[in-house]
Amino acid sequence: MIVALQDDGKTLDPHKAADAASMHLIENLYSTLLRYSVQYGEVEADLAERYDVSPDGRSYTFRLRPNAVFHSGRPVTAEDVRFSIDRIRQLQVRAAQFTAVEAIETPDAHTVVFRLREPFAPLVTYLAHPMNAIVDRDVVAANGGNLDRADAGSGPFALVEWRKDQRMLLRRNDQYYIPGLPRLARVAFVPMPDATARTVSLRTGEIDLLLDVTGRDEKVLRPLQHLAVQSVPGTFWEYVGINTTRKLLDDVRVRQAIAWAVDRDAINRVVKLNAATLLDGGLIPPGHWAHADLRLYPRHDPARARALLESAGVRPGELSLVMKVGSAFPYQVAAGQMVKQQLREVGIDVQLLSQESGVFFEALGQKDFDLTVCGWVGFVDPDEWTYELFHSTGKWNQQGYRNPQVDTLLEQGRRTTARETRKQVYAEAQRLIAEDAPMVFLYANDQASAALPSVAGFNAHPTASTIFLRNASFSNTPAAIAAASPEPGRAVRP
Amino acid sequence: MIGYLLRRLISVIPVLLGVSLVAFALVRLVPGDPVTVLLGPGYSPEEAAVLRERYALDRPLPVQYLAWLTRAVQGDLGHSFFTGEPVVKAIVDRLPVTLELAAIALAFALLVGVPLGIISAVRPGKWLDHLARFGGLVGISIPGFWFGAILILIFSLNLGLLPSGRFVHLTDDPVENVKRMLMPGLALGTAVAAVAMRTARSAMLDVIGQDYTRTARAKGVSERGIVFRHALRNALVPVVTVLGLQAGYLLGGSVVIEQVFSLPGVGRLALQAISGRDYALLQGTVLFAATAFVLINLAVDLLYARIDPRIRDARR
Repeated sequence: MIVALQDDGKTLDPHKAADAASMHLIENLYSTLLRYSVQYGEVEADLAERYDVSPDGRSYTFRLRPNAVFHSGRPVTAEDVRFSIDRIRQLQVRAAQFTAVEAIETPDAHTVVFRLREPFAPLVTYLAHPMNAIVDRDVVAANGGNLDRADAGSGPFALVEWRKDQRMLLRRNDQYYIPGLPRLARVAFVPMPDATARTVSLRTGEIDLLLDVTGRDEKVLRPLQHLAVQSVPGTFWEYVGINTTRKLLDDVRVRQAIAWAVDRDAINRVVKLNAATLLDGGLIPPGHWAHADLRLYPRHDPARARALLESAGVRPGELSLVMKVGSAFPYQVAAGQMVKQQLREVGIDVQLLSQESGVFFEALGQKDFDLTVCGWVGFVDPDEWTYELFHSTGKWNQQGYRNPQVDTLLEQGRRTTARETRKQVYAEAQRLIAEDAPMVFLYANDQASAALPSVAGFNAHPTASTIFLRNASFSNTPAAIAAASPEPGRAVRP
Repeated sequence: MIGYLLRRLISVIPVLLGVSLVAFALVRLVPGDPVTVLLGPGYSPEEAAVLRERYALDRPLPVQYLAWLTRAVQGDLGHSFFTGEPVVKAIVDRLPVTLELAAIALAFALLVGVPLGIISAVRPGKWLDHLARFGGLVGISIPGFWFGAILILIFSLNLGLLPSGRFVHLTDDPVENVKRMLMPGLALGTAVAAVAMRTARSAMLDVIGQDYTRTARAKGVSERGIVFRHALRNALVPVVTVLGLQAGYLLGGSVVIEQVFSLPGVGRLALQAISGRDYALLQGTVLFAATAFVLINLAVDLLYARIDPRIRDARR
């Protein structure tokens, strides 16, 4: 099966990869303790066939599958799990996900115990992140600690060769722990940077599966009878960021005025060609268990915005703001232009500054902006969606947002393992955040993929993960489709 | 001749030193560095400081430049920040693709552009001349990336004649390789062919108007003999000069064309280096392009001497 990507990856090291393209290449080489389920927000068993949480929420015990082996043929052991988590913490990129882990114990070859400093509910989701992979420590040692071009995995596919910018070729791992999977003998990932080349290649049958289908591509591909386009609300969401530390923008009424003045629907229509799901309340999109159906800003209301500005004592034309956007994200530049126009209608002047991405992200990190249009991608646990962005000590709290009540809720959400309590906590936190409006949430982009009709069993996932390739096959008969879904993995929520 | 060559080669050294300094400085003058790219939206000043120290990006710029230059003169251009691959290897791996692309483009320019220019000059004002001049104007005006996309739509999608989107190495399957390189070569070569056509036409017109051509005609030399024995050789000097300068265009144009046709060449490598602020890789590709450009121009100078003995004599 030939799968086209927009870009080639930079590295094959799961613990270093930070870009989507690298993750696509890596995730089928490796297994993780748990893995994302087709149902967004849920995790299921992978290398760990089951796990238990101690009543105080500070100890997680994982029982490894006895039949899981690395591509080198060596069995996966508890020691490899400990080694991998230590390596993740050393390499920094995702170290923050394991700060709560105090110690990892390996009472026997197939049991791993995570001891935590304090209860930390997102741990299971983080362990399912495809890049928090369990690596073969012997292969790491043999490569001098460097996995940039090596395969140290136990995943459904093994590396044959990677010719940078040309193709990455994988073969079926015949020793995979689920007998009968994967179904495909070989998978090739081919990077195609040009949108026309990508869609034409699919239409001519040159490739079998196209990931990361944009809204514009979708408009071209969907009407074609001989192609199958799948689309789900994705994790790539975008917002108008408001620097709450700036004069006048520190007034909640001014921020709410901006939230009412922004016409999400119009921006979605023009910029996204309607291929996005509007976020008119909280930021966690529909389909996720932590989605809160708030509808705080159900429609664009400039009159209400003007009234709020007046009550805050802001005269028309008094507020003049600089909006920074990244020139590498043309759709955000376009959204910024529309927001500028919409804010002018309520008497706010905006100067749009489009900057190169390095400069842009540095400015956001230094809180050197009034407004921005930006986005995040890849969140799964509600803690990922909220803590670092909206807690007053959050690493990425670029808006300088501060609300003690929200801080308390976000801390509580981390410490509570009970699903129902977490659901309420995050619904309340999302309501407070949306009301305070440090960000005007715009939309969650649909995550779409397109395939030839002969491709069966591949599920588009909100995170854009390709881990479902292990269930994919070429025989698109009703029997094959039934066999491929639902997922053979079992849900393991305790 | 050998003395001349040596003198020219030595004069290349300060040029390349200058290029290396400019490449080094320019990429650092632009705000943002590999660390800001690595962290992306997750940028936090504290983490950035830790990473900058780890990758020695916090050292003074002159120290960084001298360290890089010392290794560069020994043939070590450093390692890519993101892939860890040696820069020299990255360039050498991708060079054949870019060379093949440039060769097809240049061949197209020589085989189509130059003859059209000659025919057009020999029959000025005739319909073929008008057609060639119109074609030349169009060829220069249309951007390569757009023409590339149109070629894909026509030849891949509508006619199904040529495959696109994937690269196949010459050593893996020569026939498939040529099929996949034709459209990119054409897209890149059209503008060069147009320039070659216009230069050849005006040079030929100039030569045909000279006294010696009239003399040859008066002596009863056939029209064919005038064109091929007398005029063409004299008209070739400006054509070769212009094509030599077009080498720069071919290197620059390959950046865009390789992107459109998903070709793993040096141009795409340079583009990735720029967007990733991959300092060592970018300095390496810029230095490589500058060296290539200087050497091509040297080769053009040497070619003059072959075409026109007067230039050879003047150098003595």
